[in-house]
Amino acid sequence: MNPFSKVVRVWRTLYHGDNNYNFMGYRPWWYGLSAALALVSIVGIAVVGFNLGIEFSGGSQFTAPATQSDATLDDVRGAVESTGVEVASAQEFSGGERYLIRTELVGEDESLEIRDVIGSELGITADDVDVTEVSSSWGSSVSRQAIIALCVFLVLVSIYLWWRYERKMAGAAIAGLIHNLVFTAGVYALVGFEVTPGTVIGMLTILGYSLYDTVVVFDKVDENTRGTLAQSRYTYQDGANLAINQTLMRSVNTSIIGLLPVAGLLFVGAGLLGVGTLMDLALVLFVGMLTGSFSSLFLSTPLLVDFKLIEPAYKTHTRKVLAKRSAGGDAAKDAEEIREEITADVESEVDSDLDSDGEPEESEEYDVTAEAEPEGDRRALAGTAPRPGARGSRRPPKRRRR
Amino acid sequence: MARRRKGLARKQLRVAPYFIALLALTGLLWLSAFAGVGFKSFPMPKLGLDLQGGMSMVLSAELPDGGTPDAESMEQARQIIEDRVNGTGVAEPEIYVEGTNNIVVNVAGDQTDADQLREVGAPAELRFRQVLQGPLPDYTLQDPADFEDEPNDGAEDGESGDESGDASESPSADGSESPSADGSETPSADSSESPSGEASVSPSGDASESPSGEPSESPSEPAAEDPAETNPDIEQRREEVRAKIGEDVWAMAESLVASGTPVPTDQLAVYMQALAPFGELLGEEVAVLSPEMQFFIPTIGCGQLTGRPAGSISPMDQQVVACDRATPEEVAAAEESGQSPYGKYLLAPSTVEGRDVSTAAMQQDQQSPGAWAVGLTFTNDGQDRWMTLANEAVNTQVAVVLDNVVVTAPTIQPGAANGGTVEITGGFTSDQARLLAEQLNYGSLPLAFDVETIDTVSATLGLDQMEAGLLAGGIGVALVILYCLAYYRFLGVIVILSLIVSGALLYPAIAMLGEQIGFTLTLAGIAGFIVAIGITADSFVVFFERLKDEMKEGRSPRSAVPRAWVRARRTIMSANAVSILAAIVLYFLAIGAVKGFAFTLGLSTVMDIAVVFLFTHPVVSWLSRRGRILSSSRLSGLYSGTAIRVQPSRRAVTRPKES
Repeated sequence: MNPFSKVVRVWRTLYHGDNNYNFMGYRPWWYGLSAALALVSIVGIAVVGFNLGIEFSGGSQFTAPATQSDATLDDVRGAVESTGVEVASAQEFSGGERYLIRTELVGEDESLEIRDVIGSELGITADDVDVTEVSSSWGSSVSRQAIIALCVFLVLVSIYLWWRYERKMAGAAIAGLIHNLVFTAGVYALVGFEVTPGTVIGMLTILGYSLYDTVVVFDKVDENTRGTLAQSRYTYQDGANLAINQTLMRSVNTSIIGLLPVAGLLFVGAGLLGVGTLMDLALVLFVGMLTGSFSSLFLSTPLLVDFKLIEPAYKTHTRKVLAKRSAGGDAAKDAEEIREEITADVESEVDSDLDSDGEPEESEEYDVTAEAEPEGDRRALAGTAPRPGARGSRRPPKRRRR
Repeated sequence: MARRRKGLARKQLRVAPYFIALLALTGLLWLSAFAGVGFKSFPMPKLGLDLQGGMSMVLSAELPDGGTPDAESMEQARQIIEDRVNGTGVAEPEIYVEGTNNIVVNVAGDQTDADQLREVGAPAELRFRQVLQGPLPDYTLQDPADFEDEPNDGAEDGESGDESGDASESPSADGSESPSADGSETPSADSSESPSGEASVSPSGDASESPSGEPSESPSEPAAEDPAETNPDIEQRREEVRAKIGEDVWAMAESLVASGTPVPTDQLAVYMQALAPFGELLGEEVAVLSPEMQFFIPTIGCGQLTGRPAGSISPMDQQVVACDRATPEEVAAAEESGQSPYGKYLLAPSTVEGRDVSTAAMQQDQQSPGAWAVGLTFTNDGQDRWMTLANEAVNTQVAVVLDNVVVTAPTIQPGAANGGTVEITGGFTSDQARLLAEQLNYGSLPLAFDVETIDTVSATLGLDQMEAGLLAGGIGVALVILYCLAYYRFLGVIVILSLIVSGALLYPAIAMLGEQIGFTLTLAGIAGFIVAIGITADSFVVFFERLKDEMKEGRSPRSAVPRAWVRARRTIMSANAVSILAAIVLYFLAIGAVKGFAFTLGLSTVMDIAVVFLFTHPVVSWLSRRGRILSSSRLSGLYSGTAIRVQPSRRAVTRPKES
């Protein structure tokens, strides 16, 4: 089988939602990988450091349209240097239609002089030269506020996840989030992308997105494992593993659909404009969202399973289930079978949710009786037969309801 | 079959309310957006400076101990900075506090000179100056009808003889000869309108109640040297103003100043007319005029005087002119009566300045219970200078001048020169007293500000950025639509429709918020919308993937849709709640461009919830009962369990029912 058709096959499996990979069995590997990535990132940050933009060192930046004359970037750079000001960098952007000169932080008079010089070089008036001036403390005050915002967000979102799901999910989600941030920062340090206040705030927005992804997975985990303790056919880990498999395509789609607009933003920001807020935001979002999917799938969920297994109840339960399986000679229980069992339990949850939706006549119309039966037959049965999976007695004693 | 139809009919009815709610919401938003522009034009979002061109400056408060300034001082500083920016004559500046210690000054338009605004954050020194003359009312704020009641004969006296041509054009022909009593606007009668008229300085413990302020009518010392004589630059700028005003008017003004007395009230109307060109001057132009001109020319108003560049009147060795402040109530009362709430003072050179003040604190007014006063102590050196000043100024007023403004001008009681704690009384409320004490402590700006960033964007660069942002948005939407069409086929069309609905909700919302709360759409904001396309489309992904799961289980679309919805709804709400939480935290805590980003991201997410609940779900629900679009895997990209059972797991189909 050639590699291409293999890819097609995997995609087909994913597309149809038939994937049932044993993600959770490889937890130590994921932890190892995550730790390695985090380590590389931290070393990168510590050793290489960030390539900080002028907002952190302070400086002036002049931009001007270059279409009015034949002056090259070097001409303009030379002209600015002739005023005795050191030019930190000079570049073209907007497809060469604009020049950008960065200098040390200059005073009012020098700023005026530089604008005059650039203006006369490019055949425009000094007023057409745009100035951006940043004091050396701006970058750090933006970052300080960003860190405050980060802390507040972490606290609030932990409370939310705790209330919405449970403490362990909150912990696992936050761990994945922090990993995501460290990883993104590491990529920035290692690749040497410029860090601007735009980057810092972009980092903050990754928070929301990264958690969004995690919440989608956890929601499914929550659904799959509510009844875990009330039965003895599958473990918490099985439920979580199935959840990852079930949401894998959603995670892929979430990431692709999230990344597509950001890619457009990056294309325009980096490709056409070449500088500025758009590029900074797009780049950090792009990197952050790529790494975010990894963190939520391969760190948050495995962590959640291990957090859960600390609880004696789940520990004992897992031992019991496994013991029962090996006793029944079914040590390597078929993943599909587990899937069936879990989905059946979840079905009953959904049904009761539907019942409580205040639309009883709707459930009357559901024909969930014969899953494999042809449609025509089902109509005839509508509303009459009891559903399989409606095993009310097996419902967990304490159910979350919202 | 009959029962089934009935069931269907019931269901269709259930979809209708959603669409009606959606239509109502959309209609409401558009209506209020149109109402915002008075139905005159198509509502447009308010564009940020980086999209329309302009200047943006961030000033950051610095505390010596590196602490965080309190919100009250920041607000006070914001108002003062706003006054200063307004004084430079720029159109519609926007000044707001951002975060804990930043003040943002935004000025739209291309003509703004950044250097001119650079100084607005500079702290001004506090000065104590003896009042030489005043207060004169700010005649420019007075109802012109008052002047017309004045007798006009004798308007052309010697001083303005060469201006008779101009003067006679004034509306003086109404023949009213009798001066009306209330029209009398002599400075002394007006003094009680000044907020400081009744303030007095007395040593604490001095039992004598201070009489109401009596402005001194005559200069107690000869005019100090004119700054123009020592500074050729000012001289040159004064010439420019002179050319702008015109020789005739200038000569009239000079002769008025030479008289050394305010315009007699009966000639005001004439002078107001003749000297009108002075009223057109900008603050910086007024600043180069001699103090006497600034004081005596009735057409120079307090708006212009307050708008002089910061530091215009800080030199201590010069006579200066300044107006006092008025509380909003006083302004309102003055407007009602057509009087001026402000008074103009001619002030002597200063001998005591802000650094001479050791402490200033609010305290109970010991003479009038319930009122507040400000207690003041001076440093050792300051004490000597203060006693000299107080001795000279006994029974006259001394003005406390901050920036370009007279904060208070109490009359010096004889005891005030004895040393010890000085008390400023005047029936202050506690707020007034606290403000005054703070101003005496810190100078005009309660905090020192540094320029953090200055950003000028020319209109052409703004347009470029706008186009880039829209292009990025277009590319983003196109990519998402293509992907959804490829992946979900017909359901992709629903994604497109949902995105359109979302756009139809967002556009009027932004336009309306621009009108209502001044929300401006910046480049970062556009980026927020673009990123939000992903979040919005993702809600559909969550829903459709659930739908796919359900149909894989072998359900018909009709029964799969409500089941998928019940599950997806929860996920969508949880995930969006996290997004909204992130947006809110960013909006309130972060500083810089991210605010716009967070706002649009949050707004989009909220709208996304509306769209999913009111549009996407009802439409899919409706489709599931109509035709066979959703049933066909080829059309919908969903795949029905019956169609694919050939694929992987046999067990999924034939799972034996448990007993």
